[in-house]
Order: sequence, then structure tokens, then C-alpha cells
Amino acid sequence: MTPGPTPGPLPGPTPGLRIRGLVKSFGGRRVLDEVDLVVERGEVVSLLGPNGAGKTTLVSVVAGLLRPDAGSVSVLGTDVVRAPRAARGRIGLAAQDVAVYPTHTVEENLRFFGALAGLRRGELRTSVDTLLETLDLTPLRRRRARELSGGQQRRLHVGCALVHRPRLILLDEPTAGADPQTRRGLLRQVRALADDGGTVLYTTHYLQEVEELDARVVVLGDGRVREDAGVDQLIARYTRSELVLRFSGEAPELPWPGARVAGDTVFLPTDRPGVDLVKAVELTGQDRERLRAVELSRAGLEAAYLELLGAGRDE
Amino acid sequence: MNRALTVARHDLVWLRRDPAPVITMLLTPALLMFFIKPLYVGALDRLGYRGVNGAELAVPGMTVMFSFFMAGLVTESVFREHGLNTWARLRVSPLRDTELMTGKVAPCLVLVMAQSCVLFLLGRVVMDLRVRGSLLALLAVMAALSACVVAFSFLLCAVARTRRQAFAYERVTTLVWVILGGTLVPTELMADWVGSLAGFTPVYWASHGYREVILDGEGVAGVLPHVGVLCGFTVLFVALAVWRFNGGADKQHWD
Repeated sequence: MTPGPTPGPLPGPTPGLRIRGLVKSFGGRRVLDEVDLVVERGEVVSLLGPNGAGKTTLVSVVAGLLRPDAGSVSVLGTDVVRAPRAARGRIGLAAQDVAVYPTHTVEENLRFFGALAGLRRGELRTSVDTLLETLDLTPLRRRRARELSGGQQRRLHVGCALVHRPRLILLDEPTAGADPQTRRGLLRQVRALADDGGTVLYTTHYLQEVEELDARVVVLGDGRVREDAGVDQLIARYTRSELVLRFSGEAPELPWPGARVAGDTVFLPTDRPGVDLVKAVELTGQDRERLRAVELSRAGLEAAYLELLGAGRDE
Repeated sequence: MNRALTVARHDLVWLRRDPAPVITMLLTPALLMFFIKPLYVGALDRLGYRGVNGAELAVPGMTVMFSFFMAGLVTESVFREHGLNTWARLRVSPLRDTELMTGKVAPCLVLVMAQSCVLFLLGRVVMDLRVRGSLLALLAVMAALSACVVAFSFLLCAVARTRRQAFAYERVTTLVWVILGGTLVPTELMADWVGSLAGFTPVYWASHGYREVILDGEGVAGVLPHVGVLCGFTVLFVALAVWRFNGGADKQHWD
């Protein structure tokens, strides 16, 4: 359970999660429309999408809380619809809203869910102790959940989903409202779970987390998988880094493909910042005297994501 | 069954840390039966019983009524899980619906039995209640009544969509049963049409079962019909509950 080098996904005949042709409608509205997704063991897949894209519905169907209208979901080869009980023991769910018992202590909460999953005596004690340590909750083990801070409750919430050592971990915006320290701890825990061979499906609106997790990104839109790629691939596909040249006074027009001028600044798209930097400065010619600053604006996941969503709207 | 026990233990911890509902369910009937006891002397006289003090109707009457009010403990426990978002977590665990509901109703079964025992004991010690029949017969009625209450609570959980609905169904149904079933006023002293409806309520069979033992000195054989009908109601409630129960239903606790 300790963080270590990222071994990456473990492709094999039985993926951690396989979704085929998943369809789910509510009141005639198709929330999930023929969704296909395979997540290998040891892989973190980050599920992105605007509100209402179907992320939580997808997680609920995978967890067995909602029955799909069509399609199949299998967890480590076990069909969630046909053999829900067999699949359930392998799934840990931390939904958006904190779900703990306020009148029970931290330890009692963890022990309860561990016992329900079939852990007994020594096995249960070891699992609870390990989680308390990992989630930095050991000093609070005898404190009632209602007395915890929001961040501590959220850690306990995630702990309750992990206490039975599930092989598929479904985390639906687990860091929503969490402080930076809690968020960092949870991300470290998620990465460790994947490194330990677990399969993680992680929904979030915090794109920085996705980059930190180095997760594979699956973007849902209108109930469909709109994009499925690594962070770097997504950035390369939808955005480019830019050289930003700032001048004293009005910025000159430069003969550069895709260049744009805004007041005293010129933005020059680039795939090779090091090479293009020299070239761009040379191109300024007589205006070089007025050149105040040159910066590199690196493309990020957020820009790529917004571009992708924008492209979706334009279609 | 281990998992059902885990759920039951978990709920008992909750009740131990917030015992107000259980205490209320003991104190209120205890006080009420003390105050209404004198009113029943005349009623018992009209029914032809002599050498009685009113406790013979006051104690079983309040016991039956407040036994059904105990169903609220189960509905509160189930709807609380929805309010705390833990219901989804329970359903993702390997827990079967039957294990979950068994764990939820089991503490109620124990508590209704305990409540009945405490109220009868109070009746004996404080109100000089004398049971003319067999103690075993009294326990048989008590056990059948407890099972019926638990089945009723399961049915409430199955049909209600919100906690408030569950509360309203429980109170209205119980009060109608209590009035029609002769728990507060013996059916013999009410209009004839009430008497013909009384048999359709479980409280009638519980109240009359107790009367057979306390006032008529019956043994186990004498209350077998009452126990049998109460078991019939139990089976009916469970069957309806199983038919209507949907663990995946979106239920609300707070509104």
C-alpha cells in the first residue's frame, strides 16, 4: 500500500473493468449511450465530463446500484448484473457525498464495513490498522465521525470504501471540498492502490489531479465516450504550447502560422519551443528594440479539455 | 447470518448512544397505563369481571399499542441510512437484501419483547396486575405480537418513500387498529359494526389473546387461535413487504 514506482497497467486476458455497449436511460433520456470502456488492472482511469455527462450514472451502474438497460459490465471477469454479489465483494465505492456513521467512531466505521465484506478478527484488525495509518487517522481512531473535520471525514469515507481491499475502486469526486493536504494524501493513496494492482476509476473536476495521477483520461459527453487517451496525448491532440512575446506599445504582426495579436502581446503556437524561440525573436526584426519579454505558455490538460468540450459543442 | 448480526449490533450501538426513542417507548405507556387504569374498572364490571382493578386492560392495551409504535425504530434506522448516504455503501457490500433487513428488524424484535416484559413487570409490581392464566401463554402472545410488529415495520420500509411517509403510515395504521381492535375500549362496549371489523386488525388478536390469559385464565391451548392469526398477519406483512421491497429505490430521509 505504500507509494512506489509506477509499474503501469497490467494488460491480460481479464481486465479489471470491462464495459460493453452500456445503455442507461432515465425518463426517455439516454444518460449512457453505448459506452465501451476497458480498464486494465493497475491502471487509473480518470473519468471527465461536464455536469450531467453521465459520470455518476456510469459509476453507479458499475457498482451495481443501477441496472443497465443494455450492455454488460464485468469486474475482473465477473458480470455485475448476472452475479452481483460475487462482483460486489471486489468493488469499493466512495461516492460524491460523504457516507459515514456520525455516532460511531472512526474505527467502528471501518470495522463495520470490513466485517460486512467478510473480514474477521486478525484480518479485519490488520486491514483497519493499515488504513488508519495510511489515511493518517490513527490518532483519531476512537473519535466519533461527527467530531471530525470535513477533510478527516472525507478520508474516513474513502477508507470505508477500501477497508475490504477491493480490486476495483470507484472514486466519484473523492476530493470534492477537501483541503490541499487531504487531497494530496488521497491522491497518494489512489496511486498506491493502482501500483498494488488495483483498478481505479476516478471521476473529478480537478484536472490537476488527473495530471498528478498520470491517469488515462476518458471524457464523457452526452452519454458517450468522446475521448480516451493519455494526458500527454490529449494535450498534444487538442492544444499547443505558445511563445508569448510582449512589446512596448502595439505588438507587430509576425509571419507565423496561427499567430494572434492582442494589444502589446503576440501569441505564437509552437511544438518545439526551444527552436522556435530563436526563430521568433529573429522575426521581430526592427521591433526587437521594443521587445520587453518572451515567455513560454505550456499547454495543459485544462486547455485541452476545454478545447475538446468546445469542439463537441461545435459539432 | 453473520452479516445480519453485524448490522443488528451496529444498530444497537446507535440505540445505546441515543437511547431517547427507546426510553420514550417505555416511559410513555408506563405513565399512560397508570393514569387510565381506574377508567377500566367500570368497563371490566360491565364485561362481567369481578375482583379486578383495571390493570387487566390498561397494561395489555398500552403494551399492544406501543409495541406497534416501536416499528418506528426500524423505519428510522432504514431511512437514516438513506439520509447518511450509507445505504448505497451497504448495497455495494456483499450484504444480501435479506441479511440487511434481518439485521435491521432483529433489534426491534428483541426490543418489543423487552418492552412488553418491562411493562407487564411494572404492571405486576406497581399496579397489582394479576395474571390468572399461564405465563407461557402470555409469552406466546408476546412473541407472536413482536413478530407481527417486526413484519409490519418491514412492510412500512417497503412501501414508504420518505421517512415522514413511514411515520405517518405507522401512526395512522396503528391508531386505527387500536381503536377498531378494541385495545383502548373493549369491542363489546362499542357499536356492533366495530366488532365485526375488529378481527381484521392484528391488535384485536393480540389484545384478546392477552385478555384470555389475564382475565379468563387460559393456557397455551386457549391462545393458539390468537397466536395463529398473529402469525398469519406476520406472514401476510412479510409477503407484501417482499413483493414491494426494492433495495435500489431512491428513498429520502430528510424531506
